[in-house]
Amino acid sequence: MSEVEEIMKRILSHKGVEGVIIANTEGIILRSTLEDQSTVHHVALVQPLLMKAKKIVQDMDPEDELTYVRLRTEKNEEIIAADKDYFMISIQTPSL
Amino acid sequence: MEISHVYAKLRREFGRQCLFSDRPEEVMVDIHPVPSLASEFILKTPKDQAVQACRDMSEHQANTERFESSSCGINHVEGGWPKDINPKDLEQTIRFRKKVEKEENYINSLQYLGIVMEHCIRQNNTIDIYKQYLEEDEEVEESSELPSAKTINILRDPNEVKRTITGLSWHPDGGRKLAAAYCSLEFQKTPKDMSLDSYIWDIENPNCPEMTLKPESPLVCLDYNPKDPHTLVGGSYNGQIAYWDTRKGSQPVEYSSMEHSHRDPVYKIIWLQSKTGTDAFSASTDGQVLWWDVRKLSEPTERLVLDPGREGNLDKALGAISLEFEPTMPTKFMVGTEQGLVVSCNRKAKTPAEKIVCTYDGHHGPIYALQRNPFFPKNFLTVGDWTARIWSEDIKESSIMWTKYQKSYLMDACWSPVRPSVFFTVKTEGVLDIWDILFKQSDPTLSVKVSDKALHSLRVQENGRLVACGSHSGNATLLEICSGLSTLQKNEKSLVAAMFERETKREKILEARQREIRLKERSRSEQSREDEAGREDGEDNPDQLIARAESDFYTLVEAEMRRRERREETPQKTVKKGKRKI
Repeated sequence: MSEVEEIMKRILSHKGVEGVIIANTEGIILRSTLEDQSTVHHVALVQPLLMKAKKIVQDMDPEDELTYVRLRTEKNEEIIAADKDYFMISIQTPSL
Repeated sequence: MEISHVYAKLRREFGRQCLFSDRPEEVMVDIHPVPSLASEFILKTPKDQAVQACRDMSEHQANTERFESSSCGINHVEGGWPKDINPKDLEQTIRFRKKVEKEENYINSLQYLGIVMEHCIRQNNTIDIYKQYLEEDEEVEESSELPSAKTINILRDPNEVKRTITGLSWHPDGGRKLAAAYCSLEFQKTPKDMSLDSYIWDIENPNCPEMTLKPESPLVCLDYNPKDPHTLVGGSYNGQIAYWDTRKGSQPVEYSSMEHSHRDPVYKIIWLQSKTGTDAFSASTDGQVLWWDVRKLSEPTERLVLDPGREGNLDKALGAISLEFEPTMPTKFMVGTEQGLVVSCNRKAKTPAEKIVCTYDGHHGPIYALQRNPFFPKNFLTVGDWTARIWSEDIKESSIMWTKYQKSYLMDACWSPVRPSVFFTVKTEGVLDIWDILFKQSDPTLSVKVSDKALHSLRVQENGRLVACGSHSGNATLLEICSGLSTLQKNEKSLVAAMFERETKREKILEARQREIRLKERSRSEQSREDEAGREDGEDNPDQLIARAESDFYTLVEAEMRRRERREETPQKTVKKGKRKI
């Protein structure tokens, strides 16, 4: 457990990072630094996107796997790192 | 058919290797056509028939069932929990979470994810990976697009008897409406049943004017109040000023009194910048410039007589045809006269004599248009007789730039409000010229034939794209200028500034030179008055002049030849010396 916290703390220590969310592929939120409502909102919207992205990669090349998805918007960037069972979302406002 | 050729092969030779050998050809069978057999057949005309080896298809149309959709928001609630766990029960969810976290691969996968995540985040913090390095060229339009102007609409005078459009004014807010003043300027030729009305048009509806303005005498010019888009002020043919409020109807709200108005048609009226927003001034060929407060039109607030002798003498005054006022310079204004002079005046001067600051003498005929460049207020454009001239305030003797003499009279001009190097002119042959002084100074960049009749007035809308031209037959044509001529190009301001400066300098230098020459001549004429008696004979005789010129010429030639010979001698001498030494 403490290792999980360590990982999250390390990510949060980087410049511009606003929040980190860890959830499993079914959408169950495991850990989050943001408040409940927005976390639920985020995960609910990101999860189908992630499913779709995984499917795309699998369809194109069965041996390939999705590593991460970057969603760059005007105000900030969302990085969604995906794994077989879990995924992690971090929201960062780039300083550059 | 009988058998004509038999080919036999032994069984044991089947499958044997073929041994080929060359042999001259021999005819085995020759079957000739039997024409008598043709009579048993009927000839049919050949037909083209397309054949396709595929299934038979037919086309049908089908309409799907109506799919009703409606927009609604989604309320996200936690889900995905396995069946046995109630998401609202905190204890159960916490227990579930803890269970998940104890799974083996949880930590490993998280660590892996953490590494990936950090890499991305660090990337973002080091450089902007989305930065555009090569700026996309958006300015290709300069070379590829030819300048063009497209007619959008023609607003025709609804009356039977057509009158000239002598004044135009765009609505200040966005320019969706255009006010046009209609008047027949031909002296004493106005037909009896000519309508006195002027109209306000909505440019989207060319069929009928949005509003009619009914003055007592036809309007020669009008102007929308830039501060209050509902009010207009107009100058009429009999010299009176009228004030309208479009919310109150077609009749003017107020009229200036006859005794104190102009004695000639009011050719130009412009709103002034003031705290109350109700001041305007007007100019007329009777030689006066009057200032008015529209709340009280019975008497003008101020009066200026355009007497170049600065005496205020009305008999010697110059008739004014155009006025110029720039809101950024509220104390100065300029008047263009019938005599071809531009008079620059200062409103704040104490005595009437000081009001007239200076004059610029430029044109041979009346100055029909006068406008300062909206980007460079020190330079102004005048149009009159057959040329358009650009002036710099500092140079009073002549304009700094001018067009060549055109084939027909130029009636009106104005600068483009968006591009400092573009201005528009209209001519009596019905042509609208668009000049771009950065592109070409000798000819207009674009010449558009707008109508067969003469064009009398011109106004550009504030966005620089729409131009309205008024013609002799009462038609106002709206043109849209291509984007190349109505968007500010990069470096344009600095280039135009440089050009104006250069031309101003040139004129200054020329002026200085002229002055020098004049001084010299004067001093020379004073000195040589004594020598004049003796010199005159020699100078007047042409033969002696020729003889002198010839002798001068020959001495020059001889001197040159001698110089050349000397030059040739010296290298030869040095060469010879060198040889001897060796």
